[in-house]
Amino acid sequence: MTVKEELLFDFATNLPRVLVSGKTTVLDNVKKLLLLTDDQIVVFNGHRYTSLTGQGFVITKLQEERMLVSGEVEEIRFFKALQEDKG
Amino acid sequence: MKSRRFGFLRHYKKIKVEGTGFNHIVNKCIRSGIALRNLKWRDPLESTMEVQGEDFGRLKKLAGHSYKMTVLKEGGAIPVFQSMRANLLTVAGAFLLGAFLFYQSLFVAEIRIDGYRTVTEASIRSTLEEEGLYEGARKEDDYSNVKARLYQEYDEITWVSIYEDGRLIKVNIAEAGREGEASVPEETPVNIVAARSGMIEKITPLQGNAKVQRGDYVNEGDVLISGRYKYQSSDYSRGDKFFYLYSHAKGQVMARIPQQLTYYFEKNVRTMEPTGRKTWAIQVTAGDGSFELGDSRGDYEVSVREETVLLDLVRFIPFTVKLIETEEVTLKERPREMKELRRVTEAAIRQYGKENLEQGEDILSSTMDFYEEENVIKVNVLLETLQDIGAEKEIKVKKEEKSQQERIEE
Repeated sequence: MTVKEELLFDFATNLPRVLVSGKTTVLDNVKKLLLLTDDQIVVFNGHRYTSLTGQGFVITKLQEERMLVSGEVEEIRFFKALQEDKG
Repeated sequence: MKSRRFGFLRHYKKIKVEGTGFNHIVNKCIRSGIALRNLKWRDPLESTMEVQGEDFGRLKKLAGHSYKMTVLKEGGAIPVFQSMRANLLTVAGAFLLGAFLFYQSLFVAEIRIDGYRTVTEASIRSTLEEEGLYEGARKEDDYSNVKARLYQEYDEITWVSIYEDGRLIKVNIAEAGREGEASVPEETPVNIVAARSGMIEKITPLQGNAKVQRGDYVNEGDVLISGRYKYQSSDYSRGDKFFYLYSHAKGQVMARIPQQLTYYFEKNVRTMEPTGRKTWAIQVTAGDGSFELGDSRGDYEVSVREETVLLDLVRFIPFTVKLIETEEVTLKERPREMKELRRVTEAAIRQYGKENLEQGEDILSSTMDFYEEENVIKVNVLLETLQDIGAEKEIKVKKEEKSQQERIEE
């Protein structure tokens, strides 16, 4: 990674950052929780949205914009809001 | 800033949140910096989560009247301590019970002895007690001193194992078989010979020919009952020669045996005369601890202490209550009287007879001679005992005689 990419990775606080390891998922820069069910979690990261789809989701910890999720992750999607929705 | 590192460890509440839009309350927590744990969606109207105890008030304020919150459980160190404080007596009781169970496990509750044959259990127990191993004694890590004492005390014991099974001590013993007891098989021809010298008093041959009679003096090794029969052949084909038949001789031969014993006694005898002054005390011993109620010493120069056990428990922890009587005495010394000396010697002779003579054997007469020496009185005792002196001795049959006997038997 270039220095720019490194800085972007470490200091971008409004972009999604997701780490998945086995049945544990770490979502950073969580500004808002939009949806929580046992098979889907959608969070807003500032500029983007992150959607986790899977099974048996439990938020094991939610603190200081970091969310630890346990459960089987099947799909991760990132999307942004439409221009008309922003207004 | 207040440290929140141990927030959940200190105190947390598991709450049930009922209402629509669970994510709204979660977002308020994110904005307010309230840490949440184990957020679980149950259905569109109900979710559960855990919040730190100190944040619960703020959370309720944030939630307002839009949500119903129910505390399901509280956890962490603070509730545990609060619960302990509320149940102080229970905790103290549990601790005391644990301490009591541990303490009682340090003492011997039972001793089981197995494997003894000739040595009595009572004598083994007495030896163990002398070495500090008894019911109620403190358990030891090493019992080698007890084993050594048993080996030293009893020649018959060839192997000892001592091990703990909880509060039970198992003592296993193996004894060697005595060589002298090996009996000669019934079919082996034997003579009954004299095991020691003496004058024959009575002879009862059950099998074999008596070779001695009452009044005869025999020496050690003399044949008393012979297992050899001489007969003349009536088979004319073999001629009218004499032949021998051999059998396993049996019988009892009682003989008078003179024996000499020597005893030494102190010339003077010490006596203790009570002055009439006494003190009493009660001694209570529980485990290793002991205390006395009353004066058990009495500050007497010379005293006799007598203990009476009122209560003796070993099952849970060793607990003993004793009544101690201490009586003041004065020591005196006086020359031993002849009558007393004779009585003590007679008792010693009876003890000798008990230990050394078997059933049917007896002490017939005894004479005592007293000699005064420096500080001691020497007593020479001449005993006449009636003892069974018969002992089996195998007959060595010559080969040609043996084959001849086998032919006859055919």
